[in-house]
Amino acid sequence: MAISAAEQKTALASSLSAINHQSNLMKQCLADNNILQALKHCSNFLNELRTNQLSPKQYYELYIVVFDSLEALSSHLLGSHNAKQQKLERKQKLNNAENSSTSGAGNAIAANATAPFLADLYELVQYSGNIIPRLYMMIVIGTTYMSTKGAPTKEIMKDMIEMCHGVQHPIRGLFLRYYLSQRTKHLLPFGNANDFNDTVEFLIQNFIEMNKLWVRLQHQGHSSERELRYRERKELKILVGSNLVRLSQIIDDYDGDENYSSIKYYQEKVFPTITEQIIQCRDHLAQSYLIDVLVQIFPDDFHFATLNSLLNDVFINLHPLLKKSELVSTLIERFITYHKFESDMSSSKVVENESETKLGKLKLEDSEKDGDKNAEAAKDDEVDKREYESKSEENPSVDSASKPQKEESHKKIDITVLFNVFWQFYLKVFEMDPELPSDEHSVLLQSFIKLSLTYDPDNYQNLDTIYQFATEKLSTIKDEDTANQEDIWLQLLIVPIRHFKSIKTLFKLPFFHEFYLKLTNKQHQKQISLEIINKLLGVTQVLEENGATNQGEFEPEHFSTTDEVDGIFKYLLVLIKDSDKQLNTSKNLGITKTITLNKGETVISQEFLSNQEKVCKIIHLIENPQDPFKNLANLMYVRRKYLNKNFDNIIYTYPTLISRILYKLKIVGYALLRQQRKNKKQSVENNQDLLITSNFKNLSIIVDELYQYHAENNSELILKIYLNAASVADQLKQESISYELFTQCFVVYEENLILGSHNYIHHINPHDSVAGGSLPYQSIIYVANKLVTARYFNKENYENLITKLTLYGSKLLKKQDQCRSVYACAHLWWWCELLIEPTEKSPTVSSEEARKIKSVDNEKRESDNKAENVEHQDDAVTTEDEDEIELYRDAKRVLECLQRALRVADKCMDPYLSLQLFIEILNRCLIFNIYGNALVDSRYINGLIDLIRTNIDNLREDDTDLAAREKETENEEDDKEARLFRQSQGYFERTLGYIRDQQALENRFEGILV
Amino acid sequence: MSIFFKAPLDIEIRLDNEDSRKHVDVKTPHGRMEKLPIYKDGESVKGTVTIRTKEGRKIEHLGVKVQLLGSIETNLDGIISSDFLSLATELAAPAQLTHPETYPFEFKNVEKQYESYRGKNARLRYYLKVVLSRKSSSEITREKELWVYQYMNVPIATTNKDGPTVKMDVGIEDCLHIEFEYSKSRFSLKDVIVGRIYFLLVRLKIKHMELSLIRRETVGAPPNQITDSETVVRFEIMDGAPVKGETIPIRLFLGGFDLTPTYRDVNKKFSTRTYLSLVLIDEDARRYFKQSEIILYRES
Repeated sequence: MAISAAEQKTALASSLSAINHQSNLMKQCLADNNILQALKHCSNFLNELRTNQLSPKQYYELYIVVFDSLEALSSHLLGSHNAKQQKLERKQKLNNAENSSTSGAGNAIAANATAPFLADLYELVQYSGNIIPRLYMMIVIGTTYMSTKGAPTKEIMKDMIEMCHGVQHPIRGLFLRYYLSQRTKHLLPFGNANDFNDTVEFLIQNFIEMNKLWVRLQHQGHSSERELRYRERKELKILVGSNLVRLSQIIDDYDGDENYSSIKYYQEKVFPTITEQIIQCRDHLAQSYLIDVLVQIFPDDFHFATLNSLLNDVFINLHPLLKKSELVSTLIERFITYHKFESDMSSSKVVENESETKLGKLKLEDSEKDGDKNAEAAKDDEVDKREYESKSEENPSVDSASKPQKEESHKKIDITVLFNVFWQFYLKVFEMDPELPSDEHSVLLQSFIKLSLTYDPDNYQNLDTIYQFATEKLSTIKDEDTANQEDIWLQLLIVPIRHFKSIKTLFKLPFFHEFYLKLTNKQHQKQISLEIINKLLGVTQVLEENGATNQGEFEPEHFSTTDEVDGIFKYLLVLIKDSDKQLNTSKNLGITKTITLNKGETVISQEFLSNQEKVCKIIHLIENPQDPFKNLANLMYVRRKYLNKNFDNIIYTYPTLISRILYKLKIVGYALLRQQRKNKKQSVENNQDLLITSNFKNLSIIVDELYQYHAENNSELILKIYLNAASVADQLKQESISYELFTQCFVVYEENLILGSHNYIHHINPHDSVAGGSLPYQSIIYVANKLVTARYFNKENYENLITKLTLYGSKLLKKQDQCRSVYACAHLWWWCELLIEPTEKSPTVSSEEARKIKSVDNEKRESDNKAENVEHQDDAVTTEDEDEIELYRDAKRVLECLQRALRVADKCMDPYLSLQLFIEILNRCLIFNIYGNALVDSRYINGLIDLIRTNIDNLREDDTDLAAREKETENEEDDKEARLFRQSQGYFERTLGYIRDQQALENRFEGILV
Repeated sequence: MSIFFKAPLDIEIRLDNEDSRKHVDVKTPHGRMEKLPIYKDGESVKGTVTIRTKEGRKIEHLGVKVQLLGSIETNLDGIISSDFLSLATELAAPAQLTHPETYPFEFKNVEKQYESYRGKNARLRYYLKVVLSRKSSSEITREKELWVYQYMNVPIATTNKDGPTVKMDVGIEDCLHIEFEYSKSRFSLKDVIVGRIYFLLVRLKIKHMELSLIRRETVGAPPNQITDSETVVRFEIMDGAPVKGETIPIRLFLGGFDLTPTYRDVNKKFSTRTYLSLVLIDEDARRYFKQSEIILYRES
């Protein structure tokens, strides 16, 4: 066909106009009732369909126009036929009326007379010399004839389909046969079994022939146009498929008699013929398209029935270039949607009719038994097949017995059998074609996995079979394109993760992990691990599946046994081991978002951090509500086995782990304490106590490890961890441990913090008492804050600790830090509240005697004479209080601390800072005064107020000009000193105001002169 | 002749039941259509001859006779005519005609051996000829042609009646190999040719295939023979190229075509035969064909 597109266009246009012209003429003739002439015109425009020059699309345009014109002819013929019929009937009636005896003859006349008109025309058009117009006219008249009453429908059908053989030109033949199938669409008889058989025969035959033509089209014309042909054929495929659609409708519509089963019919008659044809045509496009149509069009029950042969006889024999995976996956998709649909249906049915479901359940059990039987038999392939076939043969007969049962039994398709069929097929494919590309494998396996999961999410055996196979066989295939291949395997692994309701399912698949390990690319392993984590955490990336509600309803699963922990953490190992320290180009250029840590030494990506975070979240899922000790052991186990695999990363994961352990310990410890309190005398639970102790010891090992590797940059964090642990230990009355931990805090402080500076705070405002302060100062505050709540040390230990801390505080470099830490430490000597149960006694206080002895020793350090004098008073106060609550209080020490703070503040070079510190100390004094420290009495406070006043006056005098200037430029912000001074004054005023208020309202602060 | 000498009288030949008799449309050599009454073999030819004088003239004659003639005209070297049938009846003795006279005549159960035929180089005709002989001038004649059909009496259910099924295996080596089959070789004129063509080997790029019916008229005896072929029907039976293993159905209704039954050596003068020709046309418009004779007969 050496014809250009432009020429084609003109050819099309002229053909169209010719058709329109002739068609109009035909219609005129019809209006004049000149049928012969009309047929001549009809034949004329049909001649246009003989063209050779058009592309299929253009030919289709012609076809459409012709189709419409022929419809006009058909309707006219039908109309005139009916008119004639009516006339005859009328005549016949007349005859009847006239003479009843001749009615028989009249009937005969009528019967004879009806047929000829269309039958004659049917013969008449066959004189047409050209085959295309002839056949079109035959079909239009034949089908019109078929639509009339009493027509020899089947003969016409047979004749038409037979004669259509004459057109061997692919495109023309396809359209002709398509026309045939369109025209006969609603006329095919299927009233009884015989008709039905013929109709099916008719459709199948037409399908076969069309398919042949379609395939042949590929081989037409010049070989350089092969691509074009392929495209053209794709455009035409629907013509071929339409036959199968019709076939399936007919099978669907036909009810049949009692012995009829559509499945059986399909299995025995339709399926073999069609598939035979599909195989025989040995055409890539045809096979892929037709298999697809076959799978889509016929009901699922049919596929279940024929699955075995579909896979093993058909798929195996298809064109070798055809991707079997696609076919299989469509089939499986189909099964899956079917399953979903069925389960939807059945769930709605439950609501509708309970009794029916009961019946269904019985049936279910039956089929389950069946399934078991099959599962046993499945070992032997042949037996399996037979079994399966026999089962499918049994089913229909049972089904037809009662309708509800039918539906129910369909619901339960035994997955084991189903899967085995697929699996055998797969093995066969593998055997036949070991060179099968890996993406094929992957798609196939993925489909299998989906299938298995949809039908029976609790059946892991199948999945494991898949993974076992994948591990053993597939990884041995060496592909050049390894990266690509891995990508594919990745998919394979991810599929079930997305499917599983519970990730724990994975643990039941030993081969999943083995296969996972075969992935050489860490990146891929990571991806899978993340997938698992996301699944666990309910972060569904595939939101479209379950909608956004998922997150709301999500209930995380917990891992309570070592096995489970192993199960999950072996997938996390890759993340745990992952390190992201190297500085690569993309980080350098800022392409990857990064976070700089450790004073710029480490640069890590956001992603890495979030991954670590996720690992931490998983740690939170290790939970065993029944047995907290077991849980603790698990946590420890995780660390030992997994988390410490990369010491660089423990900084991210350990804190979570530790706080988790602490939390658990707390729970255990409190429970224990309560029990002990209940049966005070017996110390039965010694064992548990020991367990807790040992756990703490283990914990401290963990923290030590963390400290060991991350002392340099994260000592502050580690300090906090220690503190936390120490405070928990204290609360659980693990005194020695707590003591050790606090000591450890000091170690950290001494080794790392004393000189350390903040990573992030660059400028510290010395006037800011709340946020400001160097790292060592803050560390001291942290420790102090924890110590002040510690209640279960004995006195000696407690004093050791607080003394040490105060010493640290007093040795800080900066004056303001020194001053503030010292006055803060003062609180450690003056408990303000009990914090423990009122009935209990804090060991710190109970060892009163010891304290007294110690206090004598301590006297050496005490330089303040005043304090010595008041000591007895202090004791008296404490003993008084003992009736109600006992608090550890050492007024002398408090005063010492305050004095020390005052001295430091005084030494401060900056007068404004010094003033600020004085006022702060004043405030502390007020607190101690309120809480009954007799040494900090009104006299002392008055002195302090006076001191502050003097200081203020001094500053004012010093800066009279400054003050004057201040008034002038009140709004100017840059005068820093004036502002500070003003602030301090304000602070002081407020403090005095407070005192006044308290004096008025609460009768406090007697004797303080404001 | 009649332009110059107007016949002094009209002779009219009327056949019995002429209006109700079946007629056939036949093309005259001049291309006009002519309606002729149809007679069968053995059928009596019966009718009346009316002779009217013109303008009341008296005409003497030496007798009137009517003849039924069957003749074959062949055109070999000039037209040669020969009668194979000649029947005559005296209608009237020599007398004088003054007023219209009507004479009935009847040829009883005439054997009409052959069918009427008008071909290119041969004609076979039956006609009634009324001859009024006169003393002085030439005879006045009047002819009326009859058309004779010979219906074959169908022997009831003899296997042989239609001839054997025609099966043929033809081909060009390594190019084409087809097998075709017609249900029979003898067809009545209203029959249908049914058959099929089976492609065993196709290496040609076939464009389409037709079936044609060729009438072959042969006149004369061998050394001196003229054959004329005419394609009566051309009928496309296949469009496009078939592949190996394809079967193409044939169905050709004969009733609608102007066909002649097969005549063999009619009076040793001429034959007409019909050949069924299968023609394959390839993409280069080359034609490949195979002819085979079919026997046509007229069935009542």
